[in-house]
Amino acid sequence: MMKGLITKEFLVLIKNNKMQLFCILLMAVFGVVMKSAVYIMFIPLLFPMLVNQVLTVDETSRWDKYSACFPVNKKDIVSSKYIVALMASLLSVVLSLAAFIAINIVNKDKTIGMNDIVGYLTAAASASIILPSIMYPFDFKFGTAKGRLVYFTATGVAIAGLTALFMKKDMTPYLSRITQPAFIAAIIAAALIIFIVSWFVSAKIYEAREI
Amino acid sequence: MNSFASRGDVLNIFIDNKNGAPIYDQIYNQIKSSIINGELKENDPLPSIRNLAKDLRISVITTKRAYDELEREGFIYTQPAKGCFVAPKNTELLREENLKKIEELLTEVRQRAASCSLSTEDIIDMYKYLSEN
Amino acid sequence: MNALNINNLTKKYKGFTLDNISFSLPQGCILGLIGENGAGKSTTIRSILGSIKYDGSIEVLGQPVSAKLKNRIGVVLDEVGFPDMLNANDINKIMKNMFSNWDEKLYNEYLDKFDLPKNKAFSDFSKGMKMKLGIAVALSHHAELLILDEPTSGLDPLVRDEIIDILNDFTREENHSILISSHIVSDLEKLCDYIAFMHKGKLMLCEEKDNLLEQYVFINTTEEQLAELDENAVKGKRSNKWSTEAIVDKNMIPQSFTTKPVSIEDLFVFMAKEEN
Repeated sequence: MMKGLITKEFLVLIKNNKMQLFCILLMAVFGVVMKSAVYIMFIPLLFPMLVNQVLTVDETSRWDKYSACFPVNKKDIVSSKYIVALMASLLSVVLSLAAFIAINIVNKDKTIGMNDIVGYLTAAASASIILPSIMYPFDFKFGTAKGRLVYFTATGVAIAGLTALFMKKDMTPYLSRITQPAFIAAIIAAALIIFIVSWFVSAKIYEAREI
Repeated sequence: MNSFASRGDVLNIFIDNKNGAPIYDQIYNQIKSSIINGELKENDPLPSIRNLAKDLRISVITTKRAYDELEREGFIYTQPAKGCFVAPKNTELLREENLKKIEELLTEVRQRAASCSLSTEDIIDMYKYLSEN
Repeated sequence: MNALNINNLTKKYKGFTLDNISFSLPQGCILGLIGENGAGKSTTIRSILGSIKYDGSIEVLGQPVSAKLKNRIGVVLDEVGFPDMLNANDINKIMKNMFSNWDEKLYNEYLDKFDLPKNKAFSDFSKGMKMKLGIAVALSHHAELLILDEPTSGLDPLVRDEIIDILNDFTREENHSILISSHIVSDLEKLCDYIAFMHKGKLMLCEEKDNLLEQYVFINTTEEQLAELDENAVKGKRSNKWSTEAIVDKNMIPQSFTTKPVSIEDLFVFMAKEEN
């Protein structure tokens, strides 16, 4: 049953990444202390990396081959990973929100505006959903070493592209729109659609593989 | 290599893996002997085919074959869901067994007699002499 | 019902073909799949598990293989793939949610029986311990069919004997069956009801073990005398300067020959050499 797979994902995630999880927590604390949103925004970018590492553990420990012994099919295996990625993304958003609230509590005079927070969280949520969506199909097709390459490239391109965009155009009218609920919903919906499409693609890819 | 199973204090089975007769034959013969010489009594339960096989570390097909043969020859009977038991002593069966054995031994006597050139009269004389003393 | 039915299983790889394999495992029996490394045993098992695509039909416990059916199948592969950082207790947590019939009490009993530590990371397990853990997992969800792919390779004779004992006990139940593949023939010879020989992707034979041991015998003879025999009677031979040793079908040779019993290992080696 898939529940067993998800149990395994979390056990490996926690046991394998104790150091990394600690660093993420540190990042959050640092952000609160420095009253800076930048550090906090790293959190949703780091979580997908951890989840990807679980896939690497699968490969090195031969769990991927051993899964043939269990009452799960390849679709279940893919789904368990996507579900865990979604849960991790949710967690990263919650953690970021907590960090922002902490900043505002600690920092009564220079609080970060609600609008800005919502903007940041939307970006965080979408990033933490879209990045694994791009990474996973490559992980499933070529293995995690290559998947990670793709992840870094995609992140790099995204950051470079957004920076260029910000520098070229005056984005303030667009940014103010982000706080509109409809816009937020649209961005998140788009991210989820990409996520779901990626889910299907990964399932097809993995089913075709002979492990 | 010898392996054995014992059921209570009564039934012991020794299997010779290397040079003996086929294993099912060894089991068949040993259980049959135990029945004939009274070690196993009427309606005594026998170990199940599976458990005997597993205790002796041999194939269930082997023990099944031995039991099938014993049942066919009338030495044991099966009660569905209960197991196999020793059949009531069939005097006719025993007599037949003994006749078969005598025939076997006589054949051997004849062969040996031939190899040292003894005639039928010589053998009959020998038998008479042994019967009297 | 047969625990396993394989019909016309064929799988082509570059440089190796699994060629039209067909055999069945009757329920309650143990079938040993013997073959050299690369003979196709693992490919056959991977086909049964649905890990690879194949031509032909495979039925387990009367049905095509599905994820749900694997609740009734206990599998041990030659490599037990648990993540290094987990321990036996973690595995229990996972399997509780994985198998519908997971028996935690039984699992812990096996851990005690095998002397396996509950809180030690898997990375600290020896090869024998890893295999025993894999077997503990396979035996702890009330499976009816055990499939084991080279479960004893790399293990010392003491551990191997332990494992054979455990497998032997498993089949005390009437509806429990085992398919076990190995290239350590002596282990299988003790345990099995049926023996199948695989060599270079082909199935050389699949028969009751006892029939094989009764039917085939060693004879010591000369090349000339051998040539006079029915060629179908001779399954393989080995010649040296002074004589020829051959494995023959007992029923197809004259009574005059002195015969010696064969072992399953002898039979396989001679037959495989003859195939080459």
